[in-house]
Amino acid sequence: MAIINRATKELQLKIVYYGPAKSGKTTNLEQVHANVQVPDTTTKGKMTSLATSSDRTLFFDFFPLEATTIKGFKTKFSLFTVPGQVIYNATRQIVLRGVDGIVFVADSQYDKMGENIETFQHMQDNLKSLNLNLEDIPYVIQYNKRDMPDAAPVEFLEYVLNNRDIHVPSFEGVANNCDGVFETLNMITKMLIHRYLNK
Amino acid sequence: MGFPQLIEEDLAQFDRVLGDLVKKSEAMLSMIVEKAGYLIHQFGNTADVDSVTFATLGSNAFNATQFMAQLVNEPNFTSMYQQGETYSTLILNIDENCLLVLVFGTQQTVGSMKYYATPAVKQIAAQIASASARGETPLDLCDMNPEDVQRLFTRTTK
Repeated sequence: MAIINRATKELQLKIVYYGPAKSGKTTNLEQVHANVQVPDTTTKGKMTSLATSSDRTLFFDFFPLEATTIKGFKTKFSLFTVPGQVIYNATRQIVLRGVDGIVFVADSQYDKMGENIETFQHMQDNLKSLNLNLEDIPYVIQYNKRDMPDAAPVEFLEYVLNNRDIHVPSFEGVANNCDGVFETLNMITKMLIHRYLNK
Repeated sequence: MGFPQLIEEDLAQFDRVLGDLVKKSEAMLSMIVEKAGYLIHQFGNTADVDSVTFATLGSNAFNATQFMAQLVNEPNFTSMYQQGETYSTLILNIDENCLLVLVFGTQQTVGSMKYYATPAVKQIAAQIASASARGETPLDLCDMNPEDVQRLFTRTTK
């Protein structure tokens, strides 16, 4: 749910990186934080990670990022990740509250396909519990870990995860090397802005 | 219904209410925070606190307590208090979408914070209700150059 502040001329949007455990959600955010070009440092917020002692996301990672001014409106994106571990489903519901756009980070490895499918289904269920529908929310899919030896072909991943009435944009990624990270981010931010075109 | 669009009149009223609250309660900082984690407005000592991050953490922590409430069949926990050694924080529910977050020194009591915050919560809720009743004006981005949003973010070159 975007926040539109006409007094300060600000548009605030929330993007959630969702996906199974260890698929690279936090790495995506870390790469954006480390590598994004900003006109001045005040437009790039601090990255906050609520993680366990073993560096697994416990609650969420958060990173506020300001884009260029569009038609006089300062556009601010709040980037979040959810914890991937199955036991943290309640936490994922909390983080999804008020989401405007989703990046589903899938693990390309064959043996992770079950987890990808299950997590995608849970995401839809969690959205429903918040009275939201995936069909109404812009989302993209990133097939991460393309560098792994047992990565499934993209055609297979598309068939498994992107085979709905609306075929959404998808990207190959090796988030560790920042490959595909900015392509994914730019697509979801573009889709969100376009929601306000001709509205 | 979501959080309403805000205009100058709303921010002026938020400023008045939060300013009055900070003055009377001697809180360090007061914030209006949307429950998805957005900082809407703030008043007080904003220089020493990363208020954007504080607002996000506070709203998510509060949302977590609502899940805890459900587990004990409590319809709603309306506030959350964290006591520290130097600073404490009190988070109060304003309405379905919004919270009031206070940061205050431990020389102040939570009781006094609640005493001063209760009327502020009502005033903020009334202003938000008034903004909601005003309705929404669509954002006029129709003559925006689509090229402007093709690549909002660029990777630094190594």
